[in-house]
Amino acid sequence: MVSITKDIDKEEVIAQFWPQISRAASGYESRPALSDELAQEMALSVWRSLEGFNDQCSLNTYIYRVIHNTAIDHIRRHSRISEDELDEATLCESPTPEKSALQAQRQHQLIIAVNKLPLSLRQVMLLKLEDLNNIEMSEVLGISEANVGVRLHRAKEQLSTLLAGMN
Amino acid sequence: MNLNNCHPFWQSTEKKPQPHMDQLLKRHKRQSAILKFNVCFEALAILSVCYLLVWAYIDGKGLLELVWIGFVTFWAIAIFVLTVKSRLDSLNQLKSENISTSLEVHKKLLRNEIYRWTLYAKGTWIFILGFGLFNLSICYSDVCQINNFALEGGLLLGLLASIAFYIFRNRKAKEVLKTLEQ
Repeated sequence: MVSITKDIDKEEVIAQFWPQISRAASGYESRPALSDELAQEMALSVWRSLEGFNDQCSLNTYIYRVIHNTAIDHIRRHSRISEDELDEATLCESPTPEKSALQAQRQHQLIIAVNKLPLSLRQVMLLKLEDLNNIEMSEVLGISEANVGVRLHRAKEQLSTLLAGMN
Repeated sequence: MNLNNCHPFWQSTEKKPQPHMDQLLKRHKRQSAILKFNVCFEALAILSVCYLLVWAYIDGKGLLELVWIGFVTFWAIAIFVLTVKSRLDSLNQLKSENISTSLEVHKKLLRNEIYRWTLYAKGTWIFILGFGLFNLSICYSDVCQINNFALEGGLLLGLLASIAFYIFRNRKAKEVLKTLEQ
């Protein structure tokens, strides 16, 4: 049993996983204010669930599982209404230097396209974007590797179509 | 964009500032306190209605009024008990460690939520029915006043609006549950 109980250790874990947490939040929630709130909820859930961590899987898998279930909880509570209008607003934001503006614009497009995927496909795509392999994804989501493969294939197809539609 | 190798591109997105965990924990505690306060407030409202019923009985009110207050008391207690039961179940699920790791817990929470919205909508319809019957019996046994009609019409509109809201939330919760089950 290697549960993490000390606050200082928990802070360390949160700091280590914060980039993944904030990216997952923007992948699940395109509205900026709610995305920040979701990221905070995810950090809080990770903090609270660290004491329950034991050797059943790697810390990485465990934290991704917590993050993605918190996102589902968020979706449960904030049913999404007329997101398309907000998406358009987000797309118009662009920083000044041309190159970074283009990069930021493409990143925004990717975030919005990921947000438009159905939940089951979005989950695998977000994990893929975090560079998890199929075995890790199946552990995080509690589904078979074959199912992960099928979902990932569909997610890529849909994402390509969505991104092509944006260009 | 090559989706097989775009993880570095995804991971290079702008980083958000990390939150202060102590502030987040404080906020979480505050939310729990608000939830408990709401339950206490509703319990007090129920006690007040019960007191009203007893007081009306002691004061020797007419049978019609006693039946109406009795109906409201019984209605409020029934809704309160059923809601608290469902809420307690949800709170237990929320407190459990499984909330962060199991999809089933989320489905259970959604089913509880759907149950509560359905309960509120049906409960409000029953209240409207009782309210209508009470008014009809007053009209038959006493004099109908126009002023009361305006007030009661407003109340009825408010109740109908709340039913529309409950149905809307119920439908939204069902949509999310359907998505999760997919």
